[in-house]
Amino acid sequence: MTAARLNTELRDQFIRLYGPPRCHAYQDAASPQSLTSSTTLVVLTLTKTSFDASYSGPTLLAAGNRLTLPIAGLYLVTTALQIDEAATSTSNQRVLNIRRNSNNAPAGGTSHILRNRAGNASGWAFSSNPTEQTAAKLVPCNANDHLQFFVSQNSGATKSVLAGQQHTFLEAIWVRTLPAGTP
Amino acid sequence: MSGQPRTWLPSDQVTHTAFNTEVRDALNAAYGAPAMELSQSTTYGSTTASGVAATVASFNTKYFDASSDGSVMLSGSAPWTYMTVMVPGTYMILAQTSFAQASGTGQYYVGAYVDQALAFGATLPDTARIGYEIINRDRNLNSPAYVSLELEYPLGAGNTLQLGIWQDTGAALNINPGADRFYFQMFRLSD
Repeated sequence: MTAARLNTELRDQFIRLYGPPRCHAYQDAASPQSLTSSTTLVVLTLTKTSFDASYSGPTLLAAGNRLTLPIAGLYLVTTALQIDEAATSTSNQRVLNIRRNSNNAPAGGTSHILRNRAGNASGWAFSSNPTEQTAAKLVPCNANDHLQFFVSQNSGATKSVLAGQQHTFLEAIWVRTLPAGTP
Repeated sequence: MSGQPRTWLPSDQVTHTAFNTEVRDALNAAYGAPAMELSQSTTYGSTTASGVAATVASFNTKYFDASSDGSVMLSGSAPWTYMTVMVPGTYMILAQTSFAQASGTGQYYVGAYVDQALAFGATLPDTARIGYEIINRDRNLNSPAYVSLELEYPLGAGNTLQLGIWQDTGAALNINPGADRFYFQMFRLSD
């Protein structure tokens, strides 16, 4: 057994398990995003943790407000979205959508997580409180796939994302090799 | 493979057999922990009862069901109503249900249940419940209601797990299809 093989077949394997690729990206609290009624790509410009630099290929938060996954595998994806309060509205849906390989297009790629919260026809308002949604899901990804976060709201007025790492984020951590037949 | 790594003794010889068992298999187990995803690709008709007793959900699509030891958690063919743990350990359980738009007010529920292995639509006992989420909506809605479940739970070999759902808006509601809306996932985290 050579040192090279030990490093490749043991050390590197343990490094992967002890420090799997992961990234927590969030919206800058200083630049909260305004949301119209259109489905919008969530701006993610900061990271709390980023993909380990020991891995080759794309790392951390690439340009275009996306998480680009450096290696193939099953990733645990978690997300949170907060939007400012809205006045009484006949609609008031707030939709959260996580997509893989969407390339900035709201209907592009594959939708993996879809959720919403809603108001009502009789005028229930999200008054005085922002709305929060969270989600978690295992998502199989190939190397160099990317994840993006889309949002829409139809309260009838422009609303702001509550920015900051505790309010609106997208994160992913590698948990195992790709199951057969995925993605 | 589960359990603690071997403690090597001075008298031990590192044979290829020992290396394959103690190192290769252990790494394979860590890299290929049991994982499973079910979803539903077609709308449930009006099968969701309007009441507060959880009934068994079923799924017609298996996205993955894999483990490094070759075992699977789902047996037979679609539809599936439960999975069976083959490798004991602590599992992460993730699920989401999307109820269709309702005309009335009400509550929406999804829960996880162990060791029942009941058929689709059967009523699940609260005593078998290990986790749930319930949301209240006190006005009419203009959109689907999403309810989700995230928990970690220790499960032994042979334990079964399934989802129960209910809503009490006053009428039967469809469950919206789609792997991004209605899913059930399991992943082994540790011993």
